[in-house]
Amino acid sequence: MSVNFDRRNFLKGTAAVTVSLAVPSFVAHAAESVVALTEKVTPTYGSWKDVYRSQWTWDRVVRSSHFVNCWYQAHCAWDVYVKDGLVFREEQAGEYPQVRADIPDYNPRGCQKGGCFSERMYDPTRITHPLRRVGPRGSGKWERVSWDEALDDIADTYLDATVDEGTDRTIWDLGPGLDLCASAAAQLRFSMLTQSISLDPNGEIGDSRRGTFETFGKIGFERSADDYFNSDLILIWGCNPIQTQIPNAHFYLEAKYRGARIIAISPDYSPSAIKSDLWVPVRPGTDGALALGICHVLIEENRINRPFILEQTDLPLLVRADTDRFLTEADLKKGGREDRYFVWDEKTEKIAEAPWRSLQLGDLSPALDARSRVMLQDGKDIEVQTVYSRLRARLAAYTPENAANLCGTTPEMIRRLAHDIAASKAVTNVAQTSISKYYGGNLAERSMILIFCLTGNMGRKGAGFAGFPILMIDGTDKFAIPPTLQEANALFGRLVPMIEQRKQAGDTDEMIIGDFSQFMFRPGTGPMRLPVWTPGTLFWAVHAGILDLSDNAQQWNPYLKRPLRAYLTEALEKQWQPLQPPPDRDPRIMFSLVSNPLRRVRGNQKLLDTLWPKLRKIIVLDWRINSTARHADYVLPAAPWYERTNLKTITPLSPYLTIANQATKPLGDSKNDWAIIVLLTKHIQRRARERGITSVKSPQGVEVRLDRLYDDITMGGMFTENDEEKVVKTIYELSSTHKKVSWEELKKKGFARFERTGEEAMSIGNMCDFPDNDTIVPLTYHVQQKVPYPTATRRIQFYLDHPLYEEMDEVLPRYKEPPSIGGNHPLIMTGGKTRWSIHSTWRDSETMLRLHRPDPYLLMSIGDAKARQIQDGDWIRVRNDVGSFVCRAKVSPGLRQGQTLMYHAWESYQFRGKGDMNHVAPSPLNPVELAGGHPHLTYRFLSGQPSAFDRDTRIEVERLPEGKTA
Amino acid sequence: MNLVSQLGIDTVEARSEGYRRFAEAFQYPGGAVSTAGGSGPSGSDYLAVFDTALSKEACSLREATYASEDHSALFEELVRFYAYFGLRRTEDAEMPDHVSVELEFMHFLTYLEHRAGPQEDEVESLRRAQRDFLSRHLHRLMQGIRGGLRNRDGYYSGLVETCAEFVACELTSLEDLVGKVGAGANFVHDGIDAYNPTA
Repeated sequence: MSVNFDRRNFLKGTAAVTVSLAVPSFVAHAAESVVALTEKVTPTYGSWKDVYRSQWTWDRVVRSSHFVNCWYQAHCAWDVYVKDGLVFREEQAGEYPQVRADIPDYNPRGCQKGGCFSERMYDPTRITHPLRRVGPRGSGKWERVSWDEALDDIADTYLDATVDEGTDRTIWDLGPGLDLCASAAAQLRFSMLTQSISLDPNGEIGDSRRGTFETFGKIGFERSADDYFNSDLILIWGCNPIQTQIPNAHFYLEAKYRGARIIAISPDYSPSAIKSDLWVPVRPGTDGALALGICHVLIEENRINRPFILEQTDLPLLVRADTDRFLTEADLKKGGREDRYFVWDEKTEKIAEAPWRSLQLGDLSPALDARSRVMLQDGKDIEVQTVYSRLRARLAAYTPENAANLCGTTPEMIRRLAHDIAASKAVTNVAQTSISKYYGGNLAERSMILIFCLTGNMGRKGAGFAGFPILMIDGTDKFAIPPTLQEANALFGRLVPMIEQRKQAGDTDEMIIGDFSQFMFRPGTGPMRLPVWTPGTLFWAVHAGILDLSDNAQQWNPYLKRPLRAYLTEALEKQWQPLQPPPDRDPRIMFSLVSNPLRRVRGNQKLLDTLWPKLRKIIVLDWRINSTARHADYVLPAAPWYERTNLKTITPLSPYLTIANQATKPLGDSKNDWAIIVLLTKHIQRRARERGITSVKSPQGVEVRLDRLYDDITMGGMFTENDEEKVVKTIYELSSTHKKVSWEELKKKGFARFERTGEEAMSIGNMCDFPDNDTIVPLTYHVQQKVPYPTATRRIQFYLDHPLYEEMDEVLPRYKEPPSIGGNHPLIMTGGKTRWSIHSTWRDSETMLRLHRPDPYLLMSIGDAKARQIQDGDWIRVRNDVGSFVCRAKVSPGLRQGQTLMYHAWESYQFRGKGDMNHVAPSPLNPVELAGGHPHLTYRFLSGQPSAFDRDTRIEVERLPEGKTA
Repeated sequence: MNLVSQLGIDTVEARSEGYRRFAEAFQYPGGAVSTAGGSGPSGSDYLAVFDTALSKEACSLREATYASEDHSALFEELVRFYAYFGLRRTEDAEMPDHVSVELEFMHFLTYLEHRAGPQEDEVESLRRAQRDFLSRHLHRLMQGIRGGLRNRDGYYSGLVETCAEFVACELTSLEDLVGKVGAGANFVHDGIDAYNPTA
């Protein structure tokens, strides 16, 4: 700064001026103007107490909410108190109706994060004006610019990149906090019209629940939280709901007061384990071994539910001994179908085709444990056996003694768990996405699901394995995809013949809608113009170079037969997995919307050194200056939840659609996401016309009209940048999920119960009714109405005869020792969600930081700390073969030796020195997740794509010398 | 000799004008957008010095940063002060605890004092209000900014020092004129919670 302050000049002439009033920050309460106010009688002032003498009143109280990605506990209706254009406080609405007199209700809903959002949204991290960097990226030097200046510059760069290099060079990095309503509609329409690329974040955040996907052909199904009241055994396995599901936790505890038992299975004595009846500690990443040990006992003691297994699972299906593949009709007759499977019918003592239009067995009496011979169409006589027989052989290795050795509990405990589960009428587990963040999480999940299937705990009140809880309205796609609303019926009508044809062929709505989402990953191939999606994990692995961090993956993981790069190359070449843009086409522009990849992405150090140089513009849309914004070119100030009207739904756990009504005007120059994206198209359209650009073709040949982008995204001006609430209302009214509650009623009440599942790819997986006077029980259409599952065999499928599963010996569930991700180091770094933030949204909130230790810390056991001369609160360096970071040690008696735990989502700038918690997490690809070319093991929205793994990262820890903190 | 007498800002007109100038000087230069090329400090200078979201070296211009009470209690008292004298913050303004808003409010109070002319009761009443507002808010804020400022060179360092000195002189002068604030006039005192004074 070269300018100096001259106090004499600054105040020069103050005494000489004719005093005039200038108070632009104020208006008069009860006068025409502030000047007019000064002409009135000035109130007499005695002391500061006088200002408190009048009754405090609010200008208004607005029903609103926070659309943060708290997922399982989302969302909650709040009353927001407004005065002078500011939100002063919020209070839980607490008006959820009683669903049934004999089950607990949802009141009041809310947590301490929501309870301080009025502070958070006005704290110093808030961005109120468009910012442009004036120094190098990440230098922290910024200036405010006008919206016009920012959007013109971004529009020009966008046009340059799109015209010169292609439509697929523009990337939308989307965080899981995306609202799935107005913001999503704007982004989806932009992507649909421009064929720019949207990153599917679900795998990359480790939430794609691979094991569930492999077994059910879908991941999205879960009960309403009040249905846990109907359970008599609740497994808190791989999760920590007392800490991470604050508004839901009472349901689990109320179930306990009713008589249900809660068993917590976790390596550490977690806040949830404290509330359980029994805590079963296991070594980190060995849950699968425990589950298989339980399965072993259930089978050996014949404590299984045969009718359920025979009807609902693939265990009675026959497998060829010569090829290890399912026996199909194609094996038995010329022209036979490969998707027709066979059982051994005990009545006729012959093979018989497994029912496929329905799960109902009819007159069939399939054998469960059978071995026989069949003659193939080519005359070959082969041996076949049931999946169950093979499974039983595989489980032979998992005696309680062996399993106990693997997972670190006792054989007696495994037997006790098996007996407890078998003796219970309704067993369920609490939904989680922690197991799936272990490298072998898919195997562990499959093994856990096997317990539920062997005992028939599925699709009943209080009973069932918890999938990924997701529930959305279906109006967003209906709004985002058609060129205009007038054309929507004709557009979607084109799908009817295809749907009817598939239905006649025996496919279900769930299968058809699930498959439809695949078109969005193959641009230009769908029956209509669609937004373009690509798996986030693969994008970061290839374009950000994160795959480079796992060059030593074969040393870490002895089960790998080839370098990871070879598996990826095969998957891309065979089109088992999509990647847009392809590896040889560098991305040029990245919009980060409700996202924070420099905080979130495992191995994020590669983003700055590999991806950032490829990008000509990095634009962050957010209301606060997060880790990614600090390294962006532009930060566009987005309005937070109290400053816009929007909707969000997430999970059946709380089966309510929640509205955030606008309480105040956006602060400063902030704008809502819809307005920002639509304004961007306005600038692109204007600049395109000024530059004589009309249209370009996408790499797939889809025409992209740049000169009418604004006209198209607004449907000819029907939904302009000023119309976010109109968009939200339209989406609500297009949704089939809510027909009983009007828009006006919803705005007033703040929430509306789902009446049914939406007709979209994820929610439909719940496959159940949504009664207004009872709990919600997922999968009842399968279990009670016998509707087939969307798997290859149309059953809950444990046998996966895909080449990659064969190569990795994962055709059936098994246990694999956790790999030494990051190198051969003695400690394992586990993780979990923190109590004090939802992802990074409150991570640096002063209010929250006052409630716990404010520096990033690593929990470690007393023994491990002692062995390293580390004391509680010491500064330590955490390191492995790929990176390091500095944090404090929190020595905890709740952790077992060998385990460390780093709670989630510290911002990178909260760490001292270089490096953050993701720098030690290379997150190598798991080859089986690259599978494709299979009826159900293939990519689709939010699932079937590679994941991220950080739970079994290996580290070493050392105390920093006295006085050093970085 | 203190700043006020040194620079001759001891009349109510000069004081009012001084508050106005300080209020403006603590705004982003040139309004919302950059003034690159101007003769004063640039927008990026301002952000580097005062935007704690953007720079670890920055110091906050918000009173909440230096206050022990929660923001809603602080906002309430500020809004009550403003409302007592008939003002309401515009929705486009900075937050009610921003230094420029508090300075602007002092500009308003001193302007009223100027308008009151020879009416002693009214002048004294307004001076008590000024003293209390400075004592309870603006002085604390300026001391906080002064303490939090890392960069001791340059335009904004001079501005902060001058303004802090001005505010301190003002408080002393007002205390001389109308007496000090009664004992225990901190935010919570004598068992009276300012947030809930009737309790």
